[in-house]
This record gives sequence, C-alpha cells and structure tokens, in this order.
Amino acid sequence: MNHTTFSIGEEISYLEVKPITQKHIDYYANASGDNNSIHLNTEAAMRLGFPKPVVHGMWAMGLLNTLLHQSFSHAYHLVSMETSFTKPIFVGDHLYVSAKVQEMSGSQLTIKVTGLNQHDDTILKGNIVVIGGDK
Amino acid sequence: MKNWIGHQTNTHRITVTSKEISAFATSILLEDPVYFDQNVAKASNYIDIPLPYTMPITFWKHFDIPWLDSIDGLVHTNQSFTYYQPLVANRTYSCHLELNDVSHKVRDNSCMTFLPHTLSIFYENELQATSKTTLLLLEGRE
Repeated sequence: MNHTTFSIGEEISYLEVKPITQKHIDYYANASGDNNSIHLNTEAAMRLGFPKPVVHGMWAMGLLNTLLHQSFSHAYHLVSMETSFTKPIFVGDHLYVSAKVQEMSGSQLTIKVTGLNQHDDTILKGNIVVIGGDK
Repeated sequence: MKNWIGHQTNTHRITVTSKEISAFATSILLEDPVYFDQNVAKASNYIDIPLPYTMPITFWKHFDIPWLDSIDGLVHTNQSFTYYQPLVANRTYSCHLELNDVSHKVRDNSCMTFLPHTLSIFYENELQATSKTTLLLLEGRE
C-alpha cells in the first residue's frame, strides 16, 4: 500500500484541550494509578517549585492515540511512538497538538507530532510510525 | 545508582480487563468504540478490546523497583513504545522492567542524572511490545 493520499508536511490531525482541568487529571490519575500528589494537589506541586498541579506527561502523550484515530481508519498498525516532554504543563493550561506527515516510504508513514501550550511553548514533540494507515 | 545498571525487576503476570481499558480510554479522551465494545474490536480484527498504545505505562504500578525506592521528585523526560503485536484485554502478559543505564549531564551548573528503563511485554514467550521510559533525577536528589 502506498500513501498516495498524503503529502509531506500535510497536517493530518489536530486536537486542542482548553483548558486542561483538574478533572481531566484526577480522572487520568484514577485510571492510570499514577496518584503522585504533584499532579493532584497544589501545595504538593508548590513544594517542588511549580505554580500549579503538573499535568501527567503521559496524559498528554495519550492524546496521540486520539490523533491517530482521527487520522486513520482501523486499517493500520502502529510500529512505534516516541515523545520527549520538553516543558511541564499545568492544570489550567491550553494544549494544542498537531500531527504532520514527515516521511512516506512504501506502506510506512512517519508522523511528526508537536504539542504547544497557550504561550506557543513546545511542551512535547515526537514521532509516530504506522504501517498501512489510510485517510 | 550505577550498580543497578542492567538489573531487572521480577517478572509480573499482568492482565488488563476491558473495564480498565474503557476507563483509561475515557481519561485520554478516546471515544472510538473499538476501546469500549468487544464486537467492534473483533470486527476490526482484534482478538479482544485493544489497549490504547500508551496504556502499558500503567504496568509500572505492578513493580517493586528497588533502585527507585528512596528517590522522590523524578521527572519523566522521554517515552517511547514499540509494538510487534497489539496488546488486548483479558490476555495475561509476562512483563519485566530493566534499568538500562545511568548517565550524567551538566547544564547550567546543574548535574542531571538520566535513568532510561525498558519495560518488556511477552505473551507465550514472544515479545509483543516494549516501552522505554527515561526519568530525570535532579542534582541533590540521588
């Protein structure tokens, strides 16, 4: 299968959460089992020098699952997904995540993902490699 | 800490229920019915409801990790997942976690220690997926 329907640099998916609420984070903490107080409690976050509870990086990375489903039908196989968390995100921040086609090789598609906050700071960046994805 | 390089946790047998998958999917705003309905999953050629790709990070809660026992305030800097087979509900996977390295970098007069880990996930002795997690330990916290 070739990805003739995509072009390099094309934005294939976009997602925004504004604002990220404590409810989002409480729900993720409960579902994931990551109940570190830095995510759930303002005083605990402030003791470590943060102004507000810190959003789980893995919650933000989890949104990439949603980006993939927005982009493709189920006829794809995820090979790998890699993300760097470049800045902390806080409860109350806005998050804008986009996915752009970076490379196409036969049936393999490499997607560049970028997450920005409301100040245009990059808070996550990475790549996703899929095989067989189609619009 | 360097003495722990190459150490693995005990192997744990981990089974994820469809209810746990649904709750996790909801928490990351996934609405696709493949994560909520076994019939939809099977129609999409899965054996059972698939785990969202980032869900194996929740496997960490099953492990006792002696090299992280006395450490607080770790920062998660990098994360990757590599899949050889999709992971699905109601299968029991054998999993272990390994500390791959301990490396130091100095930036702005601060010493940072990076702790890359690999979680390996097997089903019937075949590797299904790996998850690599790098944690950052800031100076003075080791």
